[in-house]
Amino acid sequence: MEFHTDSGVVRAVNRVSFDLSPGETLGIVGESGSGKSVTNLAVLGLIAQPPGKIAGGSVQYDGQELLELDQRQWQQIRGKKIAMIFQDPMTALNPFLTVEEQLIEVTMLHLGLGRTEASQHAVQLLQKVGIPAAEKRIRDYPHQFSGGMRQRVMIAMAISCQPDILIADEPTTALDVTIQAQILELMKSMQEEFGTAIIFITHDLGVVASTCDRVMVMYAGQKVEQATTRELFNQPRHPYTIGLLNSAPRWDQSDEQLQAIDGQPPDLLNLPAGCSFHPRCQFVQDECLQEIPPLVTLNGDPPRQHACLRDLSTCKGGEPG
Amino acid sequence: MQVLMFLLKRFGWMIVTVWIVFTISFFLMRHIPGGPLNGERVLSEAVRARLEARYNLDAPLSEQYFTHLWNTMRLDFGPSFKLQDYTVNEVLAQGLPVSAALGILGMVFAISIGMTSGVISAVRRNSVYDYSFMLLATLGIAIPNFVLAAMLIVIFVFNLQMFPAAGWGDLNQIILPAFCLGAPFAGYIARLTRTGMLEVLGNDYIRTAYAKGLSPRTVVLKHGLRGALLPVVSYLGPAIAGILTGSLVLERIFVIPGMGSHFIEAAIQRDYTLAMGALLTYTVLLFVMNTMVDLAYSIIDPRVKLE
Ligand SMILES: Nc1ncnc2c1ncn2[C@@H]1O[C@H](COP(=O)(O)OP(=O)(O)OP(=O)(O)O)[C@@H](O)[C@H]1O
Ligand SMILES: [Mg+2]
Repeated sequence: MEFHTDSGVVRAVNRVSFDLSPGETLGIVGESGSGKSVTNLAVLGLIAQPPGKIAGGSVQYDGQELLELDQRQWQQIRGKKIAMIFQDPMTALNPFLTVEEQLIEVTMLHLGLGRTEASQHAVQLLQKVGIPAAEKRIRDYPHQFSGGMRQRVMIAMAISCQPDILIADEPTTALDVTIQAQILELMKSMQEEFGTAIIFITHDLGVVASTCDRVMVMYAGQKVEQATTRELFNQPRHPYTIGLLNSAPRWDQSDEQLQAIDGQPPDLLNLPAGCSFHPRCQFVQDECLQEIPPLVTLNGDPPRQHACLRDLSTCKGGEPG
Repeated sequence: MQVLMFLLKRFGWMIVTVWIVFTISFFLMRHIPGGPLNGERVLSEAVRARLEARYNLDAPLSEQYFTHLWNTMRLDFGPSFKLQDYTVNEVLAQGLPVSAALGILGMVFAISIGMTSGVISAVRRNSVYDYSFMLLATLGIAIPNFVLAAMLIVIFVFNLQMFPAAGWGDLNQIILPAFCLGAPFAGYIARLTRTGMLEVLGNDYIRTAYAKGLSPRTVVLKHGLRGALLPVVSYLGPAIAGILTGSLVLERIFVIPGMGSHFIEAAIQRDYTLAMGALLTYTVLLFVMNTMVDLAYSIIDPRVKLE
């Protein structure tokens, strides 16, 4: 996945692969700019070309190669089979249309509902995501809603057709803690009821721990580690993951023990040679400067992966073993 | 309620504006050397006195002002100086509908041609359509409408013989002048629509619309067009003013019996009453049009508050 910009070609996502089974929740974590959103926009074929370009790869859903779909086939997938909650609720809703209009057009299209039916359905959805006085508020425009309420409208929109896959790009960032818990609960119950698979993009490792079955960690547009949530938290194998875990507040640690990861996020136009994380890595060795670490797959159920030249299996956030 | 308050406020402003326009032009007209009775013919003293009495020109200026103002408030513009058998109201009643028909059709041409080509240009950016529409738009803006009129008359009237050269009363006779009138505005509107549409299509909410599985057609026309319409609607105010002045020229070329000829003649021949009547009518017209534009803007964009 590349962007052809005036200052050069940005490899926004490279060598990233993941799979997803029904009813599963996959977390994607990584710092800002690591390519989480671009990866998932590419899954839905929503990267504007140009400047974007999918230089190679494959996205398969239900035995279908999505990258080869034509416009009409895409329309059958988007919103119906795979739906997405976008990151920024302030700009993702159309300011010129009422919330009702934006909600009902999806169900009228994919579920074949009539206007009144779709409208009732939409009110129920808004109630589900916790919007008070939904029958009245539904006729409002997005600018009359707060950021958190817009986020909930986005969520209602995405779940309105009970998609097989729900891509949630930081869906709860704009919400306060109680609402956040409600939304997570809602997504979980939908998952249990309909077997929805969820891709959960977030900065919040606490949310990952409580919601995700597996986690993929991204750095500079690449997958650096993937494991079950339990494994990842107990035994991280990539220094970046270790850094992330150490920099996240945890209930069993006091604030003084928090350590931010040193250094700046990498410039995608000018990635360091070798392992792109090496300038910030506390375990760096000579070979890390030359060799691009391959993605190592370890046997297990499910198998876990990491991309680091060093064996950090015995360390836990401290010195290498 | 809000709309009513807005309309009332606008109406108040309109009255004030009309009064100011009236006052300024009343004194300006009488300050310019020459008067309505200094024509080609030399009038005898007796005739002049009788005419001055008839038009109230023998009264002191302040009295003339207040009489004229009072009559104007009663929507009575008085007798025309030059078209001596008619009142100004009669002249307006005859000329206005003609000019209005021409102006409205010109505007319809401008909006429909401009918006359609603008949307196509934006959606098919950098295609042959885009380049040809934008070239035409530039030509439409650059070529003065009397030149365009001359060219079209040569092509369609003399060579193809599709339309009559001039006159009024037939649908055939209105198409060519209305097209010439609308052409530059169609060009502007096409460019504004293209730019607006391109900007709107880059918005996040357009991506959301695609993510819902809507067809490109629905995305562009339902989710994109409204935003792209806003710059066009803002431009309609100045465009309407431009159409009014543009029609003065085109009515002359195509010999159309609208307001245009009266307006120009009245100004040249110091026909005080007719000039005043035409001027005030145009002022009111512009005000009403601009109010409608503002109203339309607030309907399209719910975030905009009328004030
Ligand atoms: N249209 C674009 N043109 C050029 N570069 C882009 C474009 N869109 C994204 N990128 C680049 O792709 C990289 C990945 O962006 P992405 O939005 O996926 O990050 P992210 O991991 O979602 O970050 P965040 O946590 O802030 O949402 C960034 O470096 C960004 O600059
Ligand atoms: Mg993102």
